[in-house]
Amino acid sequence: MIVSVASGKGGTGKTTVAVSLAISAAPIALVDSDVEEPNANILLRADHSTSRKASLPFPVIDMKKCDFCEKCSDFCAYNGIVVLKGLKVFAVPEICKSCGGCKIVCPQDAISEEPRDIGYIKFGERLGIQIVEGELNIGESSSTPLVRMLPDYFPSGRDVIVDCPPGAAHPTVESLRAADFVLLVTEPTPFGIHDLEEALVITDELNKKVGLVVNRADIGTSDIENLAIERNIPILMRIPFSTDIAEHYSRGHSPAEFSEYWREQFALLWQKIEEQVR
Amino acid sequence: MIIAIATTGDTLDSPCDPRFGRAGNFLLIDSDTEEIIDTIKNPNIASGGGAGISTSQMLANRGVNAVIAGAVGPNSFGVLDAAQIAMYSSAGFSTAKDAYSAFKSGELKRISNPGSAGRFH
Repeated sequence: MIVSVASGKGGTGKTTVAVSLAISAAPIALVDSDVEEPNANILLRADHSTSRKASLPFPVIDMKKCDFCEKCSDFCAYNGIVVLKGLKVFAVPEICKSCGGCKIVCPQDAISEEPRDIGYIKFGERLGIQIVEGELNIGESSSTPLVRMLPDYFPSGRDVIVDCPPGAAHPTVESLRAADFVLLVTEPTPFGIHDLEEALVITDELNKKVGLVVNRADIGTSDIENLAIERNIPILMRIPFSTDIAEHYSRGHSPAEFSEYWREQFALLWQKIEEQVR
Repeated sequence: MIIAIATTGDTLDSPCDPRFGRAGNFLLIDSDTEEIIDTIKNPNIASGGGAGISTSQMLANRGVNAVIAGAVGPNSFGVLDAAQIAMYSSAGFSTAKDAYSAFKSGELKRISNPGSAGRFH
């Protein structure tokens, strides 16, 4: 079973929930697909036993074969390849989408591809949790290609929890694609509700089963509860606004790690998810 | 030497365009004869991305030696630099004619650093 933990709005407690759920459901795999700022392992604290470079194919031009016909730059919808007649031809890493189109249209067979590193995929294990963490290199303009690579590294024979990036854009869509169930962590604020509705547009489109975790559930508005009833979405857990949780979190400890009570609550949450998927 | 001036219109009296990649038009002036040899309506105004790259490539392949624009973004800067095209700032000048006169008298500032990026993600 693959469970993606998403939110729409950032800062609702996705990672706290994902790590706690993993601790209570271990042995399990936890995948951090928030590759622009992976932070699940700040709470899990596994040593990275191995890592591998993630790369995309990037066009390189053999200037002995190139005749400056401009077919490559005419083809590229993103203007990611530059032809300076009589001088040089080069692709621009910030813009190139690695589609390989320029290589195909080149009549001189002058374009080949070399790997261009965009980040890392790191592996580790602690508390019975195998963590797979994507980390995008600083300066990369798009995280989607790295997010899309992660399912290839889901450990086999284990259930998987995916800690998704915030927002409702392409990296989130890719983080939800493989999911059997999407756990949406939200908070009872106007921003929380607004962004939850954005996330629901995606889960509807992808035809995913969803459930809610309402964080800081005892403050703010009751609109989330109304929305859940209206849309017939189960609220699987409510987490109160708690100084105790906040204090432990500030030291890098998730609720299920410091508290037997929360370990049981998250085990219960996992059971409910299993029932929903069945 | 061929100079390309970014303008919002199509004559020397037109205002300078502060943008480069998405500038409205380019006036191409031959600085030896002082004649406008071409007026290019920029096809990259509404480009989805990489407008500066495409505009730079277009001007480079027209044999332009120097460009005058309000600012030049990082992608444009990279291509213009690779094409050995000099970049000058028209900031503070109202019309293409003013900027060109300043260029002729050596008053225009060279752009030696790219401005901020403005692109779609």
